Amino acid sequence: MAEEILLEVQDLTHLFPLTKRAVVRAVDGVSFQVRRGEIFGLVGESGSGKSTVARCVMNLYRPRGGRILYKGIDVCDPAAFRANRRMLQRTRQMIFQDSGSSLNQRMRVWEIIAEPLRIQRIAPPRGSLREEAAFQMHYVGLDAGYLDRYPPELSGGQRQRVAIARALAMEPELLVADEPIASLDVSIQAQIVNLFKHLQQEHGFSFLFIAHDLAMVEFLCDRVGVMYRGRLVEAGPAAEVFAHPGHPYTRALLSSIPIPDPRRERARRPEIFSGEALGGRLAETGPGHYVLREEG
Amino acid sequence: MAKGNTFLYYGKKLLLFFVSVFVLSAVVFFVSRLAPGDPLRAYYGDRVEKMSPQERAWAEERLGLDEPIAVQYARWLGGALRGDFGISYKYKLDVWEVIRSRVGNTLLLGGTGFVLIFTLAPLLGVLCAWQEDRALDRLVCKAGTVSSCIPEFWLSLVLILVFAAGLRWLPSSGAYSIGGGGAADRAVHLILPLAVVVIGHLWYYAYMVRNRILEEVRADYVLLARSKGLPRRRVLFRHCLRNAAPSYLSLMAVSVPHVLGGTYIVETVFSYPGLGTLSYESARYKDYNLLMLLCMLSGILVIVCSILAQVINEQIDPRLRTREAAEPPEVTER
Amino acid sequence: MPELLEVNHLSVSFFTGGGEVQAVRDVSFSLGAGEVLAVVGESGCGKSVLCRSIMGLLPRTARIKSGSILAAGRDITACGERELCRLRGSLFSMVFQDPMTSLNPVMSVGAQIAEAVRARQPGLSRSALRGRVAELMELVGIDRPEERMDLCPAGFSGGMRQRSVMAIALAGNPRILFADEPTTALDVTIQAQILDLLREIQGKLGTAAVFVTHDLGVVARVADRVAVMYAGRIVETGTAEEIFYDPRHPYTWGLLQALPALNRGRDSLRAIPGMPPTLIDPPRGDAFACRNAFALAIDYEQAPPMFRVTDTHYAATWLLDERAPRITPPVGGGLDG
Repeated sequence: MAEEILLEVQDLTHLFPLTKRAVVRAVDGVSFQVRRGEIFGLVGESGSGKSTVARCVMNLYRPRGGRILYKGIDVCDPAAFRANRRMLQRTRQMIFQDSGSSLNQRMRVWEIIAEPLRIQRIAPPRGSLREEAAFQMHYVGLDAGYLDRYPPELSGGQRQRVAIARALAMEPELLVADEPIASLDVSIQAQIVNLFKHLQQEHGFSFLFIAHDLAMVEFLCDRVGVMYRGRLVEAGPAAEVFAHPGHPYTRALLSSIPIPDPRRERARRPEIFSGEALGGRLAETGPGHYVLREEG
Repeated sequence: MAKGNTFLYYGKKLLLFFVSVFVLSAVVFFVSRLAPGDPLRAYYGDRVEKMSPQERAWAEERLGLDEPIAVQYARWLGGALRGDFGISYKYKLDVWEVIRSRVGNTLLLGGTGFVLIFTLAPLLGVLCAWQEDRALDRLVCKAGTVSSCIPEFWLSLVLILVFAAGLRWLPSSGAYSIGGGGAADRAVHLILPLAVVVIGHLWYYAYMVRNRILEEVRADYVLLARSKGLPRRRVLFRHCLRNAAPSYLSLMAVSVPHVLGGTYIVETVFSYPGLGTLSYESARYKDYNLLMLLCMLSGILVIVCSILAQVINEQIDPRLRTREAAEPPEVTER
Repeated sequence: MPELLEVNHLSVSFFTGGGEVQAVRDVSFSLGAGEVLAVVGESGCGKSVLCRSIMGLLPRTARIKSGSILAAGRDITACGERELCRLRGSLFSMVFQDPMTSLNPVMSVGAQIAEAVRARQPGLSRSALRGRVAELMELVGIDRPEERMDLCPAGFSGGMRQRSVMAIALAGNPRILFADEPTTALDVTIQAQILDLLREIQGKLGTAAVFVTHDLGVVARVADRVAVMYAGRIVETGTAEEIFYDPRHPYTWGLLQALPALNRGRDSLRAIPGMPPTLIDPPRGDAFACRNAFALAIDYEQAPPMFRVTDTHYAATWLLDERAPRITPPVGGGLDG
């Protein structure tokens, strides 16, 4: 059981100012751990704060409270961050939902893939930057013919592959993907999920996968965390959470997964979560399975 | 928005106004005095050349021009706060008197021009948006671009050459004929300058309206409105034009000084006795007091219009307003 | 019995700078009164264009090249804009994907519904109009409509906005309702509610509906009949049971196989390789051939016709030709099969 913990989020809180006085608690006291070499899925509906968590982990937002320990380094502490800047930037990589807008439209595909290497002044292991890009592209299933293309000339699935190749070129230890398949077509989603699974097995990086598609999360992830209105209401091994959901919100969420079978789907009655039971703290209900419970 | 906030909001705008006016007065005062030229020439005319140094010193002292600029400014400011802006060196009259005799002409030209632009621009813009990418739209777009590129003074000269010198249909200058002065006579004198003011500015605003409406037409809600069974015309007017209106109003507020500036240039070319020609003369002859008051009046108009545009943008556009107010108490599912 | 909507050999193209995009190619289907048809396919397969061409809401770059659309007995393709305008809202209306953008942000929700009511009943008095708006809002499950009708859409959540859009669509008692991905932009916990509401209202009012979606879960929940579209063509059509329990087209197999629910315990999802062709210059023969593990030589030469499986079930694949080799479908029978 002594698996190394790569990322530890402790009591993370982030606020967004709405007006001068009102604020939204986008993330409210969220704690979870990602072990080395596992796929951790963070699920929740829009506005649940899951993307904010990802951005805090990547130092894109500075959280208002709590700590984020990556390899034991508090990345939210400016001094610790500066001291380990190169390592942190190199070994954590991120993929966004819409690679149509997250990739620079005026750069060629190979320049996009090789850019992090160039910025970090890493000698490309396979000779030139271009060859390195070609290697990575082959690795994610893109033809070398696309090396000199621009992102708008590619389809959504191909662009997402470019984004993955760019992240993998740095040989990351932690990959954070914020809804990476949400804007893709159904038949392409399965391809990309397969690619993630395959690459993770090959590279062994830890993977924080943020999604709202529960069926995909169940398929891909080892462990999951369920978020609702900024709070983590349940966390645990994927099989366990999906089989025995502890929190009423998780139950409502799971019961809302559509079933591609007309007879069963028509018999399905989704549970409705009324919004109570958000207080209390996480309590362990099974091995590694935590559920938000009222105290006492 | 709470009452106290509204008070604070308009209080800030008022403060902004006064600070802007003060800064403007100081800048204009010092810059005008640093520019070369002899203010005594405005007062004494050609006699200046025959003046002895003693006479000059005496004249300067009399007009208060011998003191340091900062002191002059302080004195001017003191007078201005009491409503006393001094006399015009050239006309030897209270500057208010000089301006009063001219302001009507400018308001007639600029005001009519502004109203014409204000009403024609949305009409033309809607027409182009309605006919987007068809022959009419393309033709109007090209003609409009050309027209807004023509410098006003050049257009004025061409119009004078054609309609006044060549065809002799219209007078070439002035606001009324010597001796005459009926409404019809004034209108005839107004046609050419007005044409230049409108042609020079209209397209700029019509094009903004066109693009703003096209932006709205691309929105999803237009498709829903049409699938309700509303005719395209109704959707354009009830939805698109209405949503584009606040930004048009704020644009028009900014346009007031823009049009006014154009009017000044046109006035000088047509020797139209308005504030434009007066400003030109006062700057040329170093008629300091007159120049200051003219600059202040134009400047205040510009400042008021800009603040008005800001207020329209921040307060009237309901999208900006509701976004702030309606976020937390959302009506959600049961 | 004449069908409510009959589309025959419809082809729609977009004329762009890059060439002619054949978005809908030779599509035929019919819809009976009170029936729910789901059109399934990936983005760009022409399913939205199909709806918009029936509604007469195509952008100016698009043109109906051939075919006819008979709605309640009249040919829509021959109608002018004035006539289409009369039909929209009363004969057919539409619900769009994104409720955040499909309502006018600066107009109160009530006013937007009222506008749709007035388009059909121009002579209504003010109080009668308010009454009708409240009635519509109640119909789509918005509580306390009197208080809420004066709110702007910004004060509504996504689900409530989609309900309002439905109220607008239903204002003129349309006989056909088009729903273009009506739940895609909504949160999962609300999706089923909205779908059930649509089904319930559709049953109550006897409205026929066309659901456009890429989500097979949505199809399973609402559809009486299903049409699977690929690259601008309908490749398979049948009742929901036939499509889910006895699919015949390899593309339908691929869509079903790729679902995580049908891959429990497997190491990887059975994804369809490759990607859909561009419709600027669609390939000869069957457009799906190059992604199809079961493709026959003839698939690359000649587009397959619609083969009859049952009276309600048709599929366009050469595998159904009597000369083709027998293949056991890799999926079918639902989750239990």
